Amino acid sequence: MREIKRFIISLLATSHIVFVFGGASIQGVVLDEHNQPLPGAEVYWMNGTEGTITDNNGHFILEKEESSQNKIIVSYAGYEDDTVTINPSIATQKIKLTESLQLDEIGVSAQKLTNVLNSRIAVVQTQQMNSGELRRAACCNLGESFVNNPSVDVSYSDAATGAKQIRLLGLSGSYVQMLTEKIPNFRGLASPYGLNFIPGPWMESIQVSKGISSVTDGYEALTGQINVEYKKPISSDKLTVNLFGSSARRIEGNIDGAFKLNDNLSTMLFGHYENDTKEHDMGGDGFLDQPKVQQVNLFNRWYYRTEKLISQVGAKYIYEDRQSGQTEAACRNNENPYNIGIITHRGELFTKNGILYDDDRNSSLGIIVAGSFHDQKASFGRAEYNARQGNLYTNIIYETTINKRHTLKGGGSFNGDWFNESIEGIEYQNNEFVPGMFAEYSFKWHEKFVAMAGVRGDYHPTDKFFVTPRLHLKYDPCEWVYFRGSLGKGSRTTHILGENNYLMASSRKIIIDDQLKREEAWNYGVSANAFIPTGKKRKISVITEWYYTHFINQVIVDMDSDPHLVHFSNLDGRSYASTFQAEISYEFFRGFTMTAAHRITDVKQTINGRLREKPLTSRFKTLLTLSYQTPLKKWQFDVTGQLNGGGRMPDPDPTQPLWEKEYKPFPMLSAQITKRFKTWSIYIGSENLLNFTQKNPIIEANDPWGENFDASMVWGPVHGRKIYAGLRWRLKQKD
Amino acid sequence: MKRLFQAFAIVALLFSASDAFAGKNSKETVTFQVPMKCHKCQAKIEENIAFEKGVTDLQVNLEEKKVTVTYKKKATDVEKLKAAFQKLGYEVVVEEKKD
Repeated sequence: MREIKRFIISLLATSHIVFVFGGASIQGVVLDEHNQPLPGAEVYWMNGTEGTITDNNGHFILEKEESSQNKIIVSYAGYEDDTVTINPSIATQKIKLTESLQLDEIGVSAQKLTNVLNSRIAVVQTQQMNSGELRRAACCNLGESFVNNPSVDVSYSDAATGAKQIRLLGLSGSYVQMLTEKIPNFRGLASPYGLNFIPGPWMESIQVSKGISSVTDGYEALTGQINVEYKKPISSDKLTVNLFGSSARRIEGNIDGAFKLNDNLSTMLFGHYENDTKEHDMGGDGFLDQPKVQQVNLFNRWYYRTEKLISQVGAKYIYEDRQSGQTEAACRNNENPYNIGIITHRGELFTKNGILYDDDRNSSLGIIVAGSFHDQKASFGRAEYNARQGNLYTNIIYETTINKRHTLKGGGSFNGDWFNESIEGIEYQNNEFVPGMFAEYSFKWHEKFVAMAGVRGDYHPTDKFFVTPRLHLKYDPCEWVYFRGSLGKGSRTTHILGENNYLMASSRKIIIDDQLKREEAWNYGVSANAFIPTGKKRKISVITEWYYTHFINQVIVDMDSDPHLVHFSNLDGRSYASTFQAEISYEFFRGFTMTAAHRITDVKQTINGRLREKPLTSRFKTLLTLSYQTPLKKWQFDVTGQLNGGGRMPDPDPTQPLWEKEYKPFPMLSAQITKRFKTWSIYIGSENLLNFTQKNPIIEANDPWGENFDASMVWGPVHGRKIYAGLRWRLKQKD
Repeated sequence: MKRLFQAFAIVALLFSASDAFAGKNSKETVTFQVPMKCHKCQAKIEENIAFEKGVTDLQVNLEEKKVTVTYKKKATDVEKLKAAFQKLGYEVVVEEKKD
């Protein structure tokens, strides 16, 4: 809902600003979302030369300019810029800005040592990766954007299909709410491959929020949220082109263009094509190391703005052809080759609208309506899995400011999912419609303390009425340190085959218990962020955090009890995930920045009556990134090293063990060099420089029809060193 | 891996120290007062002035509205730099100049 809020606040700003026009100057006051003055904000005429800065009370006086238009621009580091049309007939003199996590790539803020911005103001612990951070690696798609990130891990779910899962706070992707522009996305069928559905060059930024989130976004985020903001037509270059090629013979092309049709209406078109159809079998086991993929991805968005309304509409279409299994060489002279094929068609449609409701109380209304259609036809050896999912999501939020200390939000939502699955020709249908209501209250005390308490009630077909309470606290004792705490509940419905169909690339028999309950967990966390000055300009950034997720209900994936089956059952006992992370960043000298981080993860669940470490979950992660930019920013060098802790493997067959009981820590190293020119840049880099790969990631690959064949025992990289190069070109908008 | 990190640090130090060995007499540093208003102005200046012929260093101080440019005397001069700022829409004033 942050996006809606941005619209609304922009609207408020547009319609609230009133200036004294009698003399040769105008005057006003710039405020934040909580009506607190913003000292030092920049105010200047659009297309003019005069500008000024607000005083300690947020006030400003700006000399009139004959040549300028009747518009001013208000800008403040860490907040969204706003363009305001002056209405000389109204007497209210205030401009409200909303916090932005979208600082310019080159911009500087107190909290920003690298291109990752740790929000100081947000009450939820949030980390922003902006376009500068995303360009430090190839970042061909969302799943490849977290190479330099200490908090988020992305790994293959199995060694055959290329399905990927994200991990946050030690728990896999299904517990992390994925959003695009603050709209829940990639749920159910799209979850195994959804990380490949957002091309990197389309992204303006990614926000990673840890722990529970606001109740306005729903009840599903159990361990955190990852939100992707696409480029916007009002702030993007006129045209950008990105071309990419790698030693694995993967080629990609991306193009996007922004068009301003008039003062109110603008649009943006995005196109993406990738072709990764070269066979690789470095392990020599006769199976492809990664699937051959072709993808076409198209997106069109519209932005419309008037004095009383801001509206956005977007439509997206994705086609993906994913082929894997045995190599051509292995298929030759083989009457019964093992092949995997997954063809996906996906369409998405959304509209987001912000409407000014009541000028006097800063009240506003935000409305989101989004829908998607996902069609997947898949075959894993002889097994076929065809599925369709439709989704309709609506969210309506009313917000009002009672006074500068108290803000209230309330609203309603509806989420509907239609599943139609066909396994071996047998059809299953599952529909789920969940209407809900929510309310959230925020209290702010003297810039030092913020409390945000929310509760929502939803009605589920099986659970009937359930309540989701959440509380966030933030305390700033002084300028350079602040603390956060959060506590709340989350829940979700599992879609076993939709979310785990990659497990069909295995001879394991899949057993799913009847009457699986919805998953439900409490999440608590505390964090401390400090920015310790070490001189006039430099600061050390230190972030420490601890989060604990305690499951009430969970669907346990038991791969331990029998090496020939996977059993999905309800939790009977304890299950928890505990993570501690410390991160330190420092600019040693101009342009040279280092980030070091260490995370300890303890994830245990009751499997077949025993509380055990969750298999295939690394116990720690150590990350070190070094980045150097030359004084003119024409060259950039980035190196990232990781050590991923060992972990437990699912129990092998005791009489005939085909894999080890444990896997050891393993290193990963990546590097990139970027050379910038005025309108274009080139980059060359390498992933997995040390060429480390997991040996025998597919169990009994030589006998895919045998009872021991299993591609799901994957804990490390399955593809070795990759060298890549790319080109970015842009045509800037005229000022 | 240790070697790689060492190599990285050496490259960074070489790049940052290269100016010091380039011969001080061949370069000049000038500080301009520039009517910048926001981070967008800063980005615009950094993206353009950095690519002016002869410019070897650029530091933008948005708060003080100052831009310090180091350049090769043989390749450009203050007037050419002022013209480059003017092309971007900024009338600049020289505040300080030193060899």
